[in-house]
Parts: sequence; C-alpha cells; structure tokens
Amino acid sequence: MIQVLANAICSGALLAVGAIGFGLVYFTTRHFHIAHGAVFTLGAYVALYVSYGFGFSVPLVSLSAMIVGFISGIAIERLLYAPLIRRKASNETVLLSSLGLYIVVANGIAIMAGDQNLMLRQVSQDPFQSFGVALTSIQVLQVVIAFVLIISLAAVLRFSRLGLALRAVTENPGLSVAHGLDLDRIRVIVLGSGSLLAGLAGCLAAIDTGVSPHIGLRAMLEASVCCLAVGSKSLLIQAAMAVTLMLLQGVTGWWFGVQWSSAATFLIVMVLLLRRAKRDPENRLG
Amino acid sequence: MDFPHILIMLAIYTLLVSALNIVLGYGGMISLCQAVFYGVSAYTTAILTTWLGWSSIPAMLVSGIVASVVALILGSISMHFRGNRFVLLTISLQVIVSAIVLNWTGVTGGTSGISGIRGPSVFGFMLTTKWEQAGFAVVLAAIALVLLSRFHDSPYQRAFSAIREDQLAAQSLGKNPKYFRFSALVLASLFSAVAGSLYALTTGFIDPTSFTIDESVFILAALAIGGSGNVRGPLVGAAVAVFLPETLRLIDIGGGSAANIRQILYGCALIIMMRFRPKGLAGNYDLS
Amino acid sequence: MISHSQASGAKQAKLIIRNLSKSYGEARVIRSLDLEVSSGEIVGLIGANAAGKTTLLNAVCGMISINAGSVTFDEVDLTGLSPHRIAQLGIGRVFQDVRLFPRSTVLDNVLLGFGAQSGERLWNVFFAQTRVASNEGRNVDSARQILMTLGKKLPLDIPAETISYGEQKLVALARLLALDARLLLVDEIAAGLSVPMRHKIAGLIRQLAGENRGVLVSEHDLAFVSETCTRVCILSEGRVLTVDSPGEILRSRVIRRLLYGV
Repeated sequence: MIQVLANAICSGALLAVGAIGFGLVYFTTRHFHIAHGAVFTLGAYVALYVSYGFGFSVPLVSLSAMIVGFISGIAIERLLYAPLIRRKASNETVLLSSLGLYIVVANGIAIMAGDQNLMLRQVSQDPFQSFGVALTSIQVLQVVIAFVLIISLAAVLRFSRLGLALRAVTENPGLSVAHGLDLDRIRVIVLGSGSLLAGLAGCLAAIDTGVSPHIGLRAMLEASVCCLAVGSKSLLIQAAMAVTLMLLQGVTGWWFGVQWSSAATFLIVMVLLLRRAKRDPENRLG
Repeated sequence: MDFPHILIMLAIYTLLVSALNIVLGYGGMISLCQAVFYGVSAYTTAILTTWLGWSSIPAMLVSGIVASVVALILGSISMHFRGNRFVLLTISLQVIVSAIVLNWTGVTGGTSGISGIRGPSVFGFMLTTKWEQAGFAVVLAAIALVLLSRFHDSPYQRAFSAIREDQLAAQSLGKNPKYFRFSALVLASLFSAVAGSLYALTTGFIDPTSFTIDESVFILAALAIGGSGNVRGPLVGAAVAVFLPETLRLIDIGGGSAANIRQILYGCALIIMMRFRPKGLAGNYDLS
Repeated sequence: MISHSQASGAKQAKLIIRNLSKSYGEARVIRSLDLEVSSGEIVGLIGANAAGKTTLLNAVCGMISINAGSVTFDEVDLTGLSPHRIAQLGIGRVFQDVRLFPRSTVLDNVLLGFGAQSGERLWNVFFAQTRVASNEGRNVDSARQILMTLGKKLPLDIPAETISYGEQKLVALARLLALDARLLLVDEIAAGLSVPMRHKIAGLIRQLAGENRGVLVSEHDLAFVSETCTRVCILSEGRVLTVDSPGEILRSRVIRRLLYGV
C-alpha cells in the first residue's frame, strides 16, 4: 500500500510539472491549450532522439527537451495564437486551432517514429529500496524536479515584477492593459515557460514509463484536470491534485484492473466538476 | 470507387456532423463526445439484431432511446458548465464510455467487437445489395435534412442561439436554458444514433476503435471545415470527411502511414480554416 | 401603444418586498428592506454607487439568492424561483448594460420577448409547422408594430450590436413590451443618452405605467427621476431610507449629501 502511495507521489510529481505548465497558460489566457499535449509529445521524442543520437544523460536530454519546448511555445504563440487574438477570435476558434496543431504534431511524430511505445532504457531501471518502498532513480528525480519547480515558480510569482505582472493579468486582464502591461509579451513568456514545462514533462515521461505518439492528449487532459477541477491558481493545490489523481488511478488500477484506471480518472473528474458547480451555484458560467 | 459505400458513409457523416452542428454550431457548446452516441447506438443495434434477433427498425428505435438516455445524463451533469469545463466533461464522458466498450467484454465483445451483423431490413424486406442499403441510408439522411431545415431559423433555434449569446438576458425573457440544452443534446444524440445504427447494419462488423475520441475529434474537424450554423455547412463537412480519405486511397499515398497523413491534412485544414475562414467553407456562423 | 394589458381591466399586480436581506460573506449589502410597487406606479430607486440597487434588482429577478425576507409579485412568492420562471410571471428587466443579443437582428431581439411561442418547443418545430408559422406570423406583426411605436426609424434586419446606444435601449424596452411585462425593472436607463432621447424614454415609461404596469426605475440621474417617478425611495446602507415626492429630491440637501457626499 505504501508502495502505491510512493508511486503515486512520483507520477503525481511528473503530472504536476505538466499541470503547472498548463495552468500557467490557462489562468493567464483562459484558453484551453490543447497544443500543450503536442509540446509534451515533442519533448518526449526530442529526448529520445537526442539520447539515440548523442548518448544518454539526464541533464542533456532534459535540457534539450526544455529548450525545444520553450521555442515551440513561443512559436505557437507568435504563429498560431497571436494572429487569432489580434482578430479578436472567439475562444472556440482558438481551441479548434490548438486542436488542429495537436493533430498535426501527434500524427507527424507517428509517421516519423512509428506508433509503438518507446522508452529511454539507459537510465537504471532497477529500483532501490528505502523505507520499505522500491523506487527507481528517475522516480525520485521527478519528485525533486517538481519540488524545485514549485518553490522557484512560487518565488518568482511572489517576489518578482514578472510574477506581479502575471498575477495581475490573471486577475483582471483589462485593467492590467490599462495600467500599461504588455499583454502580448506576457503571452509569449507564459506560452514559452508553460511549453518548456510541457517538454520537460514529456522527457521525464519518456524516461519513466515510455511514450507513444498519441499520449499527448491524455497528458494534456490530466494536466488540465489538475487546473480546472478545483480551479485553483495555487501551485501547491495543482500539485496536490496531480498526486491525488495518480493515487486514485493507482488504487483503481489495483482493485479493478489497469484497463479501468483512465476511465476511473475521468469519472473522478466529473465528480469534482460537479462538486465545484454545487458549491458555487451563483457562478453559472464554465 | 465503391459508390454505394461512399453514399452510405456520406449519409452517416451528414448525420454525425449535423448532430454536432446542433450543439456547437447553434448552441456554442464544443462537444468531443459525439462518438459516444454514435458508438452506443451502433453497439445496441448490433447486439439487438445479431444476438437477440430483432429486426432493424425496432433495434434502431431502441438504440435511439439508449443514446438519448446518455444525452440526458450528459445534460444533467453539464447543466452548469459552458466553455472549457463543458469540453472537459465531454472528453471525460468519451474516455469513460470508450473504456467501458473496450473492457465490458461480455456485452461488447471487447477488442474483437461484434461481427456478422445482418443487413438492414425494412418492414420484412432484407436490403441485401449495397445499393439497396445505400438507398436506405440516403432516405434517412434526407429525412434528417428536412428536419434540420425546419430547425434552422425556427423560434426554437432563435432562442437556443440567444441563450448562447447571453444566457442571463435570455432567462430574463423567460427562456428556460435547461429545456433547450436537454432537448438539443437529445436531438443531437438521436441523429448520431441513426448514424450508429446505419454503420452497424451496413458494415456488418463493429469494434471499439471506430468510436474513440479520435472519431469525435474527426467529426469536430469536419464541422469546422465545412461550416456551422446552417444546413449546408455540415453537408460540406461530411463530403470532405468522406472524400478526402477516398481520394488519398486513390492516389495511394504513404501506405501504412495513410491514416496519419489523413489526420495531418485534417489538422492543417482546421488550422487554416480557423485562421482565414472561421465560417468554414459553407457555414453561417462565424466562430470568431 | 400595443398593450394586451388594457383588456385585463384594473388588475393590480403588486410587487411586495418585505424584510429582504442579502449578504456577500461579511458584507451586508441589503438589510431588512421593504418596498412596494403597484401597477400604474413609477417608483424611483436612487442611492450612491454600490448602495445595492443592482443587487436588489438581481434579487427580485431571481438571479441571486437571498438570505432572508420575501419577495412576492401578484401574490406569488418569488423566492427560489429561477429567473426564467420569474420572467414568465411578467417581470421584465432592462439591464444596466442593456444586453441585447448582439448578433441577432433587431427584429429577432424583440421576437425573443414573446412568451408561449409554440415554435420554441422542439416537437412543434418538426411536427406542427402550420401552428408554428401562424404563431410566428402574429408575433412578427406585433413586433413590427411595437418597434414602429417606439422608434419609427429603427432598422429591423441588422445585427443589434450595430445600432446606437440609445436605440438599443429602445429595443430593450420593446422586448419587455413583447414580454407583456406587468412589472418593469429598469436599471440606469438614462445613462449615456442624449437629452432628447432621455425625454423620449421618460415619456415611454410614463406611457407604459399608464397601461397598468408597474415600473421600478433605478437611477443616478436625479432629473430623470423627478421627470418620471411618482414616488422615490432612497437606498442607503442596505435600507430604504425615505420615501419622498420627486420634487423634493432635487432640492433636498440631505439627499444630496447621501448621494454625493457633499
């Protein structure tokens, strides 16, 4: 049982990285950024490619994934979203473009790399025992990374001018613009950093459980759940949601069989959304 | 080119894309669970006709009822949600139902699906040739189009679209959002259900892979490309959905990667449409 | 002026608010408020910004829940009813930000006001075409007539977001006529209007009240209030303070201090 918990914390940490990235974009722009899944997959396959081409080392691989993620994020913002925003396109339009991009990237990767599940094997897969649980080194790494991320991001949000700007835009975009904040620049920064995290998450997933071209959608959905189900902008709560989600997945997989675990996840999502609606009946708009 | 088969698929996708058009094109609700109604109905029809020996029409009716029940469930759960949370809810529903279909092996046959489904029979006449079946499908689609042309520009549609523009103002004029949402979802599910029954009856074999979230995404892309908010747009979308793969097959692109290439084309079309022509090719409602 | 209400004779439909309280967390926006509006009355509601005027209107319309008290209209208890039910009972609202349906045409906006449209039931749309068509035909005629009386030069078939602000307010009133509202809740209708338009709307409101409708006018514009209202209530610190004749309002220094702090 403790093993299940430990596993949940580790995969929760992985999910938290992606979730926080998604949340950065979602809470500042209010857009359901499906392309987050595309960057996730891209990051994973970049990690694979780099390790097959240049040999594997965790820093190298994750750094390349993060760089590619960052650049992709900026490209997505400048080339895909910005023209639409300028035209005052509706949320639906933006969502559909994001979906389109996801489809293109996921299938493009499928063509180039094949449909099967790939995994970076060079990391030590032998779990080591401590405190009665067996964990691989990558799992521990995930927790460490997530921890560092949350602390540093929280610090940036709290203490830096950029953080202040981000919080302002999240609260009230109109007023922020009136006060002279450059919304376009902030969008670029947010998309860039969110996608950096997405790429990193993808890379970690490639090392931990392996990836296939179409897992990006699932990863993005789980990330979005962490942000939307409770609707909290707090990084800690998003991370906690991630761990809870993974825990529930682990437990249901254990009891009912692995094939039901994703269904269970989304059942929980529905329950959470409903509870949120009941608690907040005057705010009827989703 | 297998013309009867193409006609049947055209009819099916006209129904599916029009169904989404009701919910999204007029009502503004992005739904990524259309394949749920499609699949639930296909499986119900398959089970009733193949394992219980029912004839087609009663099986289709019951499939429609089952699909509407699912729609009612979705409606009651999603009552307070619009926009992003609604999308998330539909995706959740889709994933859950896909998993059930895949894993409830006793009822659905799991990954092997259900095979040997008899063809459609109308009032005792078995429609055995492909052309007869195509005629059946076309008639159903035509009936749907007649209903949709009545739907378009009706007071119901006017109120439904008003709720989309400003729900509070619509309520202040006496419009009940619950009624409109439920009825629209049920209507959409019924259209999708007919498509599902048609698919099961005419292809003789169904399995879970035809009813996943990829299919829902596909229907959404078809609507976005064809255009929404009128009767023509979904027709164009359905045509694109059906003819593009056929054309690709003719040109024989890529072999094993054909499916992926097709998807990429749809993705690109989606991006291009949203960027340059949010009305779609033939639509009424500017999504921007 | 189109009014189905003239046929109903002297039926008095009264809005009675008793002991109404509404708090948002710690902040008590409305406390133990009493207010009445009868048919034929035009009651002004004035108060400083954030005194709770819009909250009060929201409470009557059923858009927010209330903590205590009762709201009845025509002897029907409104508490807990959903907004669309309350509208169907004959309570209509002009919002502070007008809220026409921007992409729908002007005519469609008014058509949306009519209640009991057979064409709004899905079954009828498919299987009762003739009934729907005749119902719609009658509504279209009524809508055109209403719009003619309110604003002769209003274009009908263009999106509502393209007409001027003042015209939008006229259409908002037209919607309420289609609704056949017995009680109109009018939220800051005079704001942003030219002087002639203000007079025109003031005249329209007086006419509507003359058709046996009650009107609650929530306003900042004191001149408008004294031009239209038969009675005035001042909302201050969550309560209705004094009920005065409108003429006094413009002169009273106490009131000016209450509203503007001078």
